[in-house]
Amino acid sequence: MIQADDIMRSAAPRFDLAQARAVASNGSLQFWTSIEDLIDQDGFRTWLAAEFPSAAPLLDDSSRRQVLKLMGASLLLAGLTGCQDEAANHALPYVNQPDYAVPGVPRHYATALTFEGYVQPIIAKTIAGRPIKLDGHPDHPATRGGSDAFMQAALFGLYDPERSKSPTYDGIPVTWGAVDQTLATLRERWRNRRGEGLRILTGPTTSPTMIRQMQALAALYPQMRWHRHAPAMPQQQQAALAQAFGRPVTQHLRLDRCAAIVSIDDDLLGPGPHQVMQARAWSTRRGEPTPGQGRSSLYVAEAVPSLTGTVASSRLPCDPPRLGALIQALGATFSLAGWTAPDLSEAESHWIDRAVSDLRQFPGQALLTVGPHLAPSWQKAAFAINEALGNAGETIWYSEPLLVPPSDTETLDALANDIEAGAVDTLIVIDCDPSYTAPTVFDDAAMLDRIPHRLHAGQHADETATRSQWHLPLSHSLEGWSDGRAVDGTYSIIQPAISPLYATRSLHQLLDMLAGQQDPANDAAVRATWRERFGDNFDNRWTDALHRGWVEGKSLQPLALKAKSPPVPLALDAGEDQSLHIVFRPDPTVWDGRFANIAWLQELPKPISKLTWDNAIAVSPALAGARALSNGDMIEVEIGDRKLQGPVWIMPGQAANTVALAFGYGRRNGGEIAKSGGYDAYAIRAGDDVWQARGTLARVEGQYQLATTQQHHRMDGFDFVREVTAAHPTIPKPKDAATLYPEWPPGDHAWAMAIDLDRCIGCNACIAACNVENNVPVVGKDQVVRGREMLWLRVDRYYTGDLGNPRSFFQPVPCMHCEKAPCEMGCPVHATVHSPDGINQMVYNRCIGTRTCSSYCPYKVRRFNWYDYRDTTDAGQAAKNPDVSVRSRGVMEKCTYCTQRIQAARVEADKNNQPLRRDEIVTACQQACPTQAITFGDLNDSGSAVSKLRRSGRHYALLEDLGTRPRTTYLARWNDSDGDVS
Amino acid sequence: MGQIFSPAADTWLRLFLVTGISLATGSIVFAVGLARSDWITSANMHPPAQPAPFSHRHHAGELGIDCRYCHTSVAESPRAGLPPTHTCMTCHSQVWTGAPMLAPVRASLADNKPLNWQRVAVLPEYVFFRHDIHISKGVGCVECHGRVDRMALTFRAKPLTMQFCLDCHRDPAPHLRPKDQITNMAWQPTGDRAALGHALMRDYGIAPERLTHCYVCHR
Amino acid sequence: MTASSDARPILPPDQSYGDVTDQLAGIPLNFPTRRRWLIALGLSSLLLGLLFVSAIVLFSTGVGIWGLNIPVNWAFAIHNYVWWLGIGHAGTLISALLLLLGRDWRNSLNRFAETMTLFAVMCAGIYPILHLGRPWFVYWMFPYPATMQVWPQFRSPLEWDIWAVLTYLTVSVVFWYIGLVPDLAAARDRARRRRWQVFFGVLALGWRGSAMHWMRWNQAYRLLAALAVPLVVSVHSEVSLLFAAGTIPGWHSTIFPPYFVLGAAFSGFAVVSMIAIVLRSLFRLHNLVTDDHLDVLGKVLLATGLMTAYGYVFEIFDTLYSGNVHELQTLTDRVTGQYGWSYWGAIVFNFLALQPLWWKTVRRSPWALFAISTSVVIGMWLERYMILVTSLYRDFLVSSWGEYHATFWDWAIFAGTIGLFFVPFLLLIRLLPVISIFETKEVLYEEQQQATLASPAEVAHGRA
Repeated sequence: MIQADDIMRSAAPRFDLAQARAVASNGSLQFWTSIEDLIDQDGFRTWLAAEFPSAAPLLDDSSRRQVLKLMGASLLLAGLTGCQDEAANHALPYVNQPDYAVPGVPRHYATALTFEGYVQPIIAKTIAGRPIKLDGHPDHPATRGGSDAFMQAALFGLYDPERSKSPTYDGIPVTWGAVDQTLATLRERWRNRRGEGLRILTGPTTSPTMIRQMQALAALYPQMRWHRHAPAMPQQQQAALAQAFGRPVTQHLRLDRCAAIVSIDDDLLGPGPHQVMQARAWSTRRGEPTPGQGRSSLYVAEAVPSLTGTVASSRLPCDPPRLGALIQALGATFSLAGWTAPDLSEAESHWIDRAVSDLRQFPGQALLTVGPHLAPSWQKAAFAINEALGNAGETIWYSEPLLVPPSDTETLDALANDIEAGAVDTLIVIDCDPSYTAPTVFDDAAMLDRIPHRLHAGQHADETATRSQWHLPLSHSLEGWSDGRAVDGTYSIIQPAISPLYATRSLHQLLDMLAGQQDPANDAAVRATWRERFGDNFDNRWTDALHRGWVEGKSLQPLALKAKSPPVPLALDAGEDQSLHIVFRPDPTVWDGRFANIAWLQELPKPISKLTWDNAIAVSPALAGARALSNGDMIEVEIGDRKLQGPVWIMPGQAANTVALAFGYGRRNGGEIAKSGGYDAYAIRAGDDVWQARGTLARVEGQYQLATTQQHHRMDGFDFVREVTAAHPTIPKPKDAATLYPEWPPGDHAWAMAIDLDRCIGCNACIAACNVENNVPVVGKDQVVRGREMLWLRVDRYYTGDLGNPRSFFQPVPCMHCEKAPCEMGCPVHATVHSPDGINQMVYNRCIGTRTCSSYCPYKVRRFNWYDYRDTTDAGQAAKNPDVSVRSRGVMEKCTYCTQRIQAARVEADKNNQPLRRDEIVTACQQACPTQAITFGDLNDSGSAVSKLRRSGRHYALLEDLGTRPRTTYLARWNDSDGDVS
Repeated sequence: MGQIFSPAADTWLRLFLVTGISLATGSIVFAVGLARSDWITSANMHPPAQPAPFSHRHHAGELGIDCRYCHTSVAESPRAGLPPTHTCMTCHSQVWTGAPMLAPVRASLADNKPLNWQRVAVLPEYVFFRHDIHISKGVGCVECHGRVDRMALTFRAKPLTMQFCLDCHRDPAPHLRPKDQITNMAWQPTGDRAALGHALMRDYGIAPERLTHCYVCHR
Repeated sequence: MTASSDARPILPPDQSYGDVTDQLAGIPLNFPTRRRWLIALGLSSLLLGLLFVSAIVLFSTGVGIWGLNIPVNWAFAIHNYVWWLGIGHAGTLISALLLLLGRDWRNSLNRFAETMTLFAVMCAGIYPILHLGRPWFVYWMFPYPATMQVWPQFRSPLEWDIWAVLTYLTVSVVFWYIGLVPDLAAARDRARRRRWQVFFGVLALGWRGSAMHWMRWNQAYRLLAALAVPLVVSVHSEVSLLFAAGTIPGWHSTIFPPYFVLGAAFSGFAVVSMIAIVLRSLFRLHNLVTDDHLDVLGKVLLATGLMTAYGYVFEIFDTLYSGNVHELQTLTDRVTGQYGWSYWGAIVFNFLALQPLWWKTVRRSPWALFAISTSVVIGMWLERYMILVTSLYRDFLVSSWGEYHATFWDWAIFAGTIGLFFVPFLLLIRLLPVISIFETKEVLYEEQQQATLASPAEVAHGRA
């Protein structure tokens, strides 16, 4: 180290290093723009060559600089009110215009993001070289164009102003030159020790390139060990599979083939890498033209309310041990050897009876799943039962493992033991943050410090980075080349949508450097891998793969396997133990904490609680009643000798004695936003892979201000969300209310939206997509507390009936675009008016902010800029959609049906005098929705999708009797609970 | 008691009232007029300083170079596009190679820094103008940019107020021309202007009733 | 002039015209109670200063400094606007309506009632501008030939509002000034110091009191009165439409116009009584503002109060009769909800507190009347708050229910407007006769005429 240190320092001044460091450490794109300013000063280039050998070429690379120039220019031209007039009068053309570049016309790249080791295929829309919108790849076999909130918000990860911008040593910005020097010395050391004591810790991966590179490293340093750690991805299921089939395999579900699904605490539709694919599959089955026809009933027994539970036909809340009882009952019913039926409560047996009868009714078309975090023995029972029912191979099948599960010597615990034993000499942590996500694995946090050489590579200077001597900035998925496999096994090659904004390296560049390469090219490693795999036809297949967005013909083969019969489960504890069940869950909006520094995700309401900016300790109404707790009360949760404090959130439908903790908050590093709120659930989680524990709960002093976007959830007495049943499959049509107002003159189009409440799983993808597409600002926690969130599209969440096990509903509410809009007659200055094609227009630049429109709006979908909410940082502006105004202080705003998309499509059609193609225009929310719950189109075209839906028997309008004639309407939810839930 | 006011007091009072009223009305009239004046719309004002004294009169007028030679994307993109330095140098690497007035252009190519032009026809950021659709609907460059081919230094020829836009959006006919004449600054219609205009409206499928709602230009 | 209809003299007849003029015109010329006046002015100026400060903060940072949100995006600004405007109704009502009806007792009250009206309307008038998101564009609400070629939307109640209030203000000012002219002349003639002479002289527009002057004056004054009366009704009906035009439960009701107008008159009369009581004790005007005046004011207060109460009753009946689930929800929220205090406050201060007025002794006691009037003013404030907030904070969709909590700046600006009301009011008290001199004399004259028929002796005494 010392040596490298000296090298670094000696390479220093000649040029005011302090200044450059200031530059390097200050906000966002400033780094580069300032370098542009410095560039003419004497000695800068020479200094730069010495200090930033990697940055210098970037500076000279013309394409690189055009991106930056155009970024600047297009920002100025983009209609950002943030820019001052003086600036807006400048125009910077290219110096050399690339052939492909047409100023003002967006380009789209088929590429992918990585999440928990899997790739999420996307189409990245870029304008003037900067990505402004990500959407699911519409042709990809796995996702079919669906998005989740994480995919939508990845953009803001790219533009996160607090990303690491240059390598640091002990927190001081240094140069990659210095890093190279150090690695040289270290490699020497590893080679001499044949890699003994060299440990690399990463997240899970499916990337063939990474696997190849790790093998290469293993060849170089035989004693090296590669540990993997995924705090939010349970390992139990992997273990169970390996035990049941005698080899590691991956299980795949075909929900689109399921007439009946029985889920034991398995959140099939919940957030995570599988969400988009499984939600899509479920909804294709569920959303047949008339529900019930493509019958798909869903039985969920769960401890904590989940998205899957919300849409279930029959939901049973029960504490973790009772889940075991249910599985045992199932095992007994399907006569697994030696399994005996436990005694069940009335509700439980009723639920089991219905579930079993459906499982039996649809052999080969049913599915029993057990939450991947539950005990392997329970999992195995499920495998066996599915096999017995002939579901194996039909609704569930097994393949070669996608993520190679770490062997026992490769887990985080193993690493901890080795560190304890002093066997670790160098630890390289890549894109992984153990000292935050697994503090309890190490006896004390300082344990890492005992390792002589510690390197951390990641996008943020997070908790682990601060415990490492070296922190190396990694490129964002959108900046670097990579590859990987989607959840269905399809390979994708990841191409950058923008060249790195800062002096970062991609994961693969870094691994090559560890292997001894000097300054490897961004795409070298990936090309190498695929040159190998594609063979002689490389160029064609490579280009084809990049164009297509995935690699043709590389999909998985089902393995013919028989499951070993599961062992008889241990007797359930009789329940003398009065302590509570503490369960851990990843957070639905910041996951395991990796997204915690993205303000957009922080302000995205959690699907069920509608909380923002914090995680809370969810307790059941019963428990809250017993302990006299109310929302926001501070409580202390204790597991063994570990304690944490956090605010209470009362969660209707949560199992009586279960307390749910969410990961991802209470960060100590990794960005100002990340550190802003919540408690750290990892702190009391015993070990790396524990999902539930026994513990106690106690009220402590104090109240905590939680920010929620919906204060009231009980719908009893109203019919906002309507339901149809087998008995009453249609909703009575309202009689046409007489009106004094004249009809609108018929326009050439009549835009309308229909939202199918039977398909909506409340996953937030639509909200996230809307925020990105329409430049919706983030207002911060204090404003949300005051009821000033700016979401144009909100997903209302209601429940009816008994708090213990209510029936829950989701209802997305954008602007209704009423034909008889109350808001329009209120505005004194014509700032909100009706367009001939039936859109309720909001004209920001005409608005004077009387707020009459919002006062009159029965749906309260309008949002007001109480302060100047514009994000004027370069990074904030870079992410903006140039086709949508950024609203200034004091104006009203709301959903416009993505009018910029409508206008663009109309212009394109109009240019060649062609009519718009049927259902050509797709709104952002519709595009993102993984379950296709949202349909947009033209009512004048009786053949359009939305017209068809409007003729459905389930069609109804919100607050119909007000006579506002909404253009946004709903399809009632299909209630197949057969009345066993209120 | 003595008189408080002189006999003229009445006259003064009346005079005061009259002037007051006329001043009030006058100022309103003035304001309304001012809003339409070149001072506010900055039409026909002195051309702004440019990095190089580019003359449209010379290039478009005398040499007769077509607008689209430099403003390449005007027909397919919302933005007409400014020529990359490279375009200038295609000719100026041959002619006027040493001209001092072209020094900035050469410098731009040399050290790869774009020329920093001052925009002349700049619209407010909340106006989403598209060149492509106007071109494809037969609106000539001259309609909004004036006789650029007569401008030694480029200045804004039309007020570009909302009124200016609406006049045409409400009644496009008089502003339309055959597509092959789009860039022809000097084109004059032969025969009945109105008849031609309406014929073109039919050909191009222009429906004014769709052109005047807010979202056409504002979002 | 029409003879006073009731035979009982409302002014003590044992005073001469000269006395009256000296007394009233004397107030500005050699002002009594300087200290107390200065203190009052100082306090109100402080409040006015607060208004300026708050306005600066407001304009520089945005309406976010108030407790507003979605759904409650109208609160203090609008409800204080309605409240002030209501108060601003009594003046014109008293002087114009009662003038046309020939109720002579108004002559002792109309001057300061009108003055009060002007500044109340002024206070109301600034609110619609303060509450805008972008106040610097307020001129877009006026129809002028803009280069945007966009006109105001004349369907909007806010648009009507601007016109209604401006018309009302203009007419009130003119009416007040014309009524003032003869007195200005009187003051001019009483003035000794040159400064005062010029001041009153200019304002008096050369009034000489010739028969012709009086004739013209009469026509103008009555004409304006005839104009002003319907305005009083129209303005507040219009203000009520600001709410009634919205579909929001608790607003969307046909009872609103009369309900608002009566409420307005109610609060207005309350303020008039308060001012009357204070002025008469300050300037010892017991001979002109007599207990009989208080008695009449008390009666009017009671009457308008009962009509307002009828409004409350009818609102409830309306809701129950409609049976609309959302209307019922709003009613329950008002009565039992988180802002129930505003509803019950209105009932208690506006209705219960009124009942003692059935007794003559209470009506004639300045203290009692003052207390009751104060309660009415507070009550009406609560009522406006109730109408606004309890309708908005829970409208149709349960999911968008919210809360409203006034912030410091909400209160600061409200307090500020009180300063804005009192500073100019105190100044005018200082500068102009607070009670119409000639109209008082008129009443005196008529009463004495009638008295003559009763007993010549008294008349002789009165002429002395």
